Amino acid sequence: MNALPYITVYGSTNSSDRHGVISFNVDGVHPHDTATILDSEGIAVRAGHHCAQPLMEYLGIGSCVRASIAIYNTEEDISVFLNSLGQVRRWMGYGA
Amino acid sequence: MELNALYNQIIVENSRSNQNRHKVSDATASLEGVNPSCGDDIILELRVKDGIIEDAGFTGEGCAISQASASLMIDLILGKPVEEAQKLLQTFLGMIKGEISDEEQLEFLEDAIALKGISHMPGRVKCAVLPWHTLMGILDEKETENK
Repeated sequence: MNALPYITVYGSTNSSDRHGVISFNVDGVHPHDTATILDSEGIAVRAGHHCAQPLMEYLGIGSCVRASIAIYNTEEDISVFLNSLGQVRRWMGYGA
Repeated sequence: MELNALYNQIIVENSRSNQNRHKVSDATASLEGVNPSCGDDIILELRVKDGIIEDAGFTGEGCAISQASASLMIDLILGKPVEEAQKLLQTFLGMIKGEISDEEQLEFLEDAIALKGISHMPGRVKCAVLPWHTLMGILDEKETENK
């Protein structure tokens, strides 16, 4: 995800600091729209303020997307996820 | 449903358009509409004179669906009498709820018909109807005032 342009990851971008939950946003796209687009590819993420409004305020954002990975996810799942992420801005008319 | 039926050209263009995204001078009504669960937040302003919606605009932020819906709504109600706006409002809500599907009736919604697909997406209904419910709040209040 660090290599993808237009993706902002909240919190550490160091994978050894993370435990399978990644909160992020696609620049210029509201989390709801990101989630709907990923959903159309069979990827389920959460979008919103995750009952953490004070944290959202601290981060200076209204809401974000949250992807969780567990033992039942495969490398292919990740591949589809990353691929779809790359398409989100195109759907929203940014042409990139 | 097909993604391009939802994020079609009309929706995407309107979600990013600034044409109706402005404050209204000498506004006669202003109301804020919020979706607390997701953060869609718009302020709708109208200038109504002699029962006609002379000008309308919105400011705020939110997902593409809510922003496009607000922009499309304003395109539709600009220059129309309040009673007609109320009828269009009911037609739009009926379309979203899946209660109205008759093409002839829906034609009155002009470009707003692009949101028809939302009737199959319960998770996005609140986004699409936010500006319209805000409008309802304004028009219903005006009605009570006038009585």
